[in-house]
Amino acid sequence: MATITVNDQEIEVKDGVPLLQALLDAGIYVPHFCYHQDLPVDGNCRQCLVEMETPKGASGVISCATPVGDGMIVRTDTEAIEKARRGVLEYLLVNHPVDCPVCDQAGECRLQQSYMNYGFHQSRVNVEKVHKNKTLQIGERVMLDQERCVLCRRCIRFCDHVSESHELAVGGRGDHSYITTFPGHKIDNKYSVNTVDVCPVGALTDTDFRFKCRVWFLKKTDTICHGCSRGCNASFESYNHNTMDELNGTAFRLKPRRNPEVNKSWMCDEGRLLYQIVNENRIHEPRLANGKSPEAIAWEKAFGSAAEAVSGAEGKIAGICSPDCTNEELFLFRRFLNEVCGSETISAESLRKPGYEDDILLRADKHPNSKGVDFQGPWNSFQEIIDGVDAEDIKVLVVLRNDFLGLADNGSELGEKLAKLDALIVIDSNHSMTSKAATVLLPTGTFAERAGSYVNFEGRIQRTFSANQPRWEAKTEFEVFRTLAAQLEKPFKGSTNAARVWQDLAESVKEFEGIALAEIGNTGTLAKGYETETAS
Amino acid sequence: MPLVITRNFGRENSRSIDVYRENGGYETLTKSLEMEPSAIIDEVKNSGLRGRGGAGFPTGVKWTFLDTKSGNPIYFCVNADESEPGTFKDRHIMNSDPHLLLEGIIISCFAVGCHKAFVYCRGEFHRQIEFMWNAVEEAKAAGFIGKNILGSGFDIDIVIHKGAGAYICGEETGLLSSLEGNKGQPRIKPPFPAIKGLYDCPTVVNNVETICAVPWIIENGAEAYTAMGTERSPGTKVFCVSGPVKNPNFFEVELGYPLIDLINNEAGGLRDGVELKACIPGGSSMPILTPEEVAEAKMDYEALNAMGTFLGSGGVVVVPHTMSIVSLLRNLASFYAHESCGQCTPCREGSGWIAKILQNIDAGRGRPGDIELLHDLCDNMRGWAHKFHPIQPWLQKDEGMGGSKTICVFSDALAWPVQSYLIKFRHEFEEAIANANPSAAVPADISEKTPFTVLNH
Repeated sequence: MATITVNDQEIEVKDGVPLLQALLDAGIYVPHFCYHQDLPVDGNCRQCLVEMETPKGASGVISCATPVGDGMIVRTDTEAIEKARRGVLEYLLVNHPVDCPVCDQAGECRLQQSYMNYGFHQSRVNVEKVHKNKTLQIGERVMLDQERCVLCRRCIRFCDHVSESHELAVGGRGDHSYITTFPGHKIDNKYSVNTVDVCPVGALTDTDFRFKCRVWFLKKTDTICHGCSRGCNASFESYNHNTMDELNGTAFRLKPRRNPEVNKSWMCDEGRLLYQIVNENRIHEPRLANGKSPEAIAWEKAFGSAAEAVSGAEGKIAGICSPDCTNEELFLFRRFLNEVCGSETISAESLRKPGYEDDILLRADKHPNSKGVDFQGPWNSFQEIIDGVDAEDIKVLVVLRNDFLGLADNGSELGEKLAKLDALIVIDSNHSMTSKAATVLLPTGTFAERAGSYVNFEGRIQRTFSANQPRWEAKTEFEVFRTLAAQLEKPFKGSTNAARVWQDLAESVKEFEGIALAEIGNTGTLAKGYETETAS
Repeated sequence: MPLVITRNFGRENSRSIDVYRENGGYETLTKSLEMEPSAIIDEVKNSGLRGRGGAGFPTGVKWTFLDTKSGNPIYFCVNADESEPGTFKDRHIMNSDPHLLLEGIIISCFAVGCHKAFVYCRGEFHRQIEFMWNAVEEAKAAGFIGKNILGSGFDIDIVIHKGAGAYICGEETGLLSSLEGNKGQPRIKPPFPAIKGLYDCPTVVNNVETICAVPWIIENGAEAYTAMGTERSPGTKVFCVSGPVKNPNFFEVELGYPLIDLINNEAGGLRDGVELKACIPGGSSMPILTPEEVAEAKMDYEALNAMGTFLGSGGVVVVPHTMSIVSLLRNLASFYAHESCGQCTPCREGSGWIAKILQNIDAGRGRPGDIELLHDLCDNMRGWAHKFHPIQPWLQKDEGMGGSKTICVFSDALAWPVQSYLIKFRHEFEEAIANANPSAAVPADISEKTPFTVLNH
């Protein structure tokens, strides 16, 4: 730790970090464009100037390129600094096109925010601005507007140091400089949309989000990406406004949330698109299929049918969930099967095959909670259950978030065996092969419509939060279990209070022992026995 | 006065190694190889030799900054990227006496412990580069470059590197970036090249003329060098005089020489019918002098600093009474806008904006308030010299915060001339603005209204 004096106040800061980071961490805002916590320092925007005492008097330095040193004396509030900051800001605006009304970045644009802070509404520029190319699609997901670019080079540093794919460079010189790919090439890596995130202005924009929604209509909810076992921390952004409130709840995008231990500031391109399942292909209402085509029914009837099937099975019931379920779902599902359905036969195996992996973010295991499943064993295997169905020892199957029919190599064979069941009760959010085969289909919420926790591949427990109640007629899984239990006149212990549920979990799962919900917070915490593992 | 740099100029076939050796060439090298390297550094330090590229930093002192304990090889780079408008001395050194430069390099490398030197030559100097290549081949054949030269146990290799046409590659870290194969974009200092330079190794960057003084200093001793020039600016310098004078040329004179004598004696005075309007003393980046100031100016670092300008590269440009200062400044600003590397915001955007405003003023489209605007823009770009050089006396108001507003001093090199011209010749700008004609024709300047696709370079 080092002690520095900022504006006559002594503060303790971490040694060796850039002065800018130390100031930001201490709550002293210093405007900046090119600095990014997870990228190497470039020092080209010159916006982060602060005054430092030197033997020759006070001198301006850029705080991003100045490592903190014990005893530094710094000022961020003098008139000279103000003038210097205004100067740089004015320069940034000289050739910047006034695209705000049509630019996606409006509302989350660093330049816009800065110039509003400084009241730069009257421009002194009375010369023609430099014109460059405006709609260059330089990648499948990335659109470039060279005029809006402030040449902070964050995108280049990302491609050089994080994705290490080196697709971007600056062409030209002086104020005719422009960002470009090498001639004939595109941005072609699995993390390209991160360049859109790091771009402080609307030069790089996401083609998937282009022109779709103004960002001030979006509500942000902390979530965990469920695309693989890394569990990147993400922010789920959905419509939330009283104009066009029929759109409320519609998902527009997933953006990464910074977590230095898990994903830094990054997310893969694939994972970002997972927001689409909140909007598309949803099961809107319960369905019943009594040997004929499934028909939409009211929940009362759906619960009735399901309860009938369960009591009729007389214990010959099994459950299948998956590592796509949260810890809480796994826990409550097992309790439901044990105490309400009277069965101990349960599997959490998924047939999804491992996929692409690299040493940046993507993991081969494409489930968010495989470790969570491991912690809450013992489980039967999927094959044991199918054998049981085949041998008619299992008459009713309750499936929670597992599309085994769609994922299996021998789907039709499995389907034939399932025909022997009296009832196939499926609880899921999106249509799938399995949901189509259901005799009773109970819709529930997607990842964005439930709160819970996952354990990622290195044993980190991370929380996901709910953006809103499940859309359309879907209900939370807790609601489903509780109501079914009530119909079957069995007690079912659970709660909508996350802390109480977690406490319950922590008492039963040894890897969660002694960990309070508050400890997990927004950045997660390592499970018991995993504390010495370091992030890879 | 003995000639230090230009002693062999004018001889027939002066580039040839045989002619060079006939006149004592490479004897100093032989002598140096028997000295202690630290003794050579001391001699150069005591001579007070200062960098002749423009900054005037004491050369021997710069050599002592090298990090000799890093475990990495030490590199030596000679800055032959002579691009400062008004300067043409290094070109003539390479034209007439490339072996002097080579001998200076080898002695200097021996002194600092460097085994690989680079001469970064601007790309437009095709002929000079050829001369240097030939000289290196001759020196290799004679055993002055290579392994164990003259049986001393010292290895030295010299690479002549060709630039690709950028003024900013004359900035030492820009030069290093370009030499490494990247865009010639300056780097943030600290770390300084003496600690982390070429390929992150300790590096010395010196100007051609500076290194050419080293053989004479070692041969004749530091005291002989300090006997010339002034106390804090010892030795001689090659000044270039251009403009409407009778004898535009380069001249080697002692530092401290009166500027008016340089113009009237060596350069033959102004041509008939031409009067002196102004004079740029040290390359286009330096504040301009009025005729009264020219009459008093002495060509050494301190005297010119006290007058609020700089000796710089010694490129003296004489401005005749027929020249419009507004046009002159417009031309200059266009050059800087074209050459800005574009990395940092104030210089990139500021140089372009300033150039366009001046184009407007010169074309009769100036507006009231343009002069104040230009001053403000320059204040926001400038800062490197604020606390580390004497305050320019012609700036009457407080210029705010000094320090690193930009990555390198290029922006100051634009701001100094712009502000000095605006202050000392304000009446010309005021007149141009007062006579503005809003429907004036667009001047035929390349960066005005040219489509972006054509402008790329």
